[in-house]
Amino acid sequence: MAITSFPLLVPLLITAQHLSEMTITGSDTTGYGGYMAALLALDAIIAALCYVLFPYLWRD
Amino acid sequence: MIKHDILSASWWKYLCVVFLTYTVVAGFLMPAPAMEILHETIRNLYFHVCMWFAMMFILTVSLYYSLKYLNKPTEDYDIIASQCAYTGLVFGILGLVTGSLWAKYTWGDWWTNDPKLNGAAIALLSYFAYVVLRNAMDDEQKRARISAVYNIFAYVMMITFIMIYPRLKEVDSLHPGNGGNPGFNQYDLDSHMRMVFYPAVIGWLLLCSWIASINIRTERIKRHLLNQ
Repeated sequence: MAITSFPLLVPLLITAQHLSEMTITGSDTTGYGGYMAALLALDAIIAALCYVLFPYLWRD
Repeated sequence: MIKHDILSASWWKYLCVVFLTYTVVAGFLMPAPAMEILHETIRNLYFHVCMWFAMMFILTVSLYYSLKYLNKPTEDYDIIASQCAYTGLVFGILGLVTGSLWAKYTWGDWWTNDPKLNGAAIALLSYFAYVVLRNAMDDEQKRARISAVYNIFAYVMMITFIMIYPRLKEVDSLHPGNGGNPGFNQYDLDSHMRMVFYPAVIGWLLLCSWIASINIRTERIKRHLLNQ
């Protein structure tokens, strides 16, 4: 069942991959701030959703 | 067991037939603006864009019923949420197919490595996972609860991937309305096209609801027979 979380994590992975690429190559850093903001926003969304939804999963 | 509600009413299905007949006839016969590269393929606007609108609409309905299910676990909410999600998936696939055809005749390839296209594909992937998740569990209540939670996640990711991510200025995209490109209506949706496009949107939304309503009613009967 945990495998179904993979498609949900792809947005995070892609954003993190773009950021890592910029950090490592250091050549083209335009849009660094945008991706960073997107990453933080995604983190915030996921954390908030987890916080709200986990009790429903746990209730058995 | 047969409920007589809006789902079994017939007036909006006649309306759907009228709108879609008009869309197909007028969509192919009405004048369209002559534009470079696009040419007559601009008529695909009445089909491709409407598929995504229909998908967004039915997935929002699905999300609404998932939320309602978590608030108050009722079997019927689970049925509506799941069948709407399945219908949304079908329309998403149709959206990809019509988009792929359009891409072939304007961008020169069936699939380009475009953030909008990949985003849409990943969004659909998360709904495929929803189907897998539902089929993986036997216990009805557990399945309903977990898939409702998953559905909320999938919806948020779908919105991120289709509506937000491709629209970032940093992203390179060929798709109209994305990566800093102007959207269609800003420069070439003329009054002739509007006369077809708006009825087309309503027609496809109604067709999508119609398919979903048949799925929902079949599933209700199935559950009813199983519980006997």
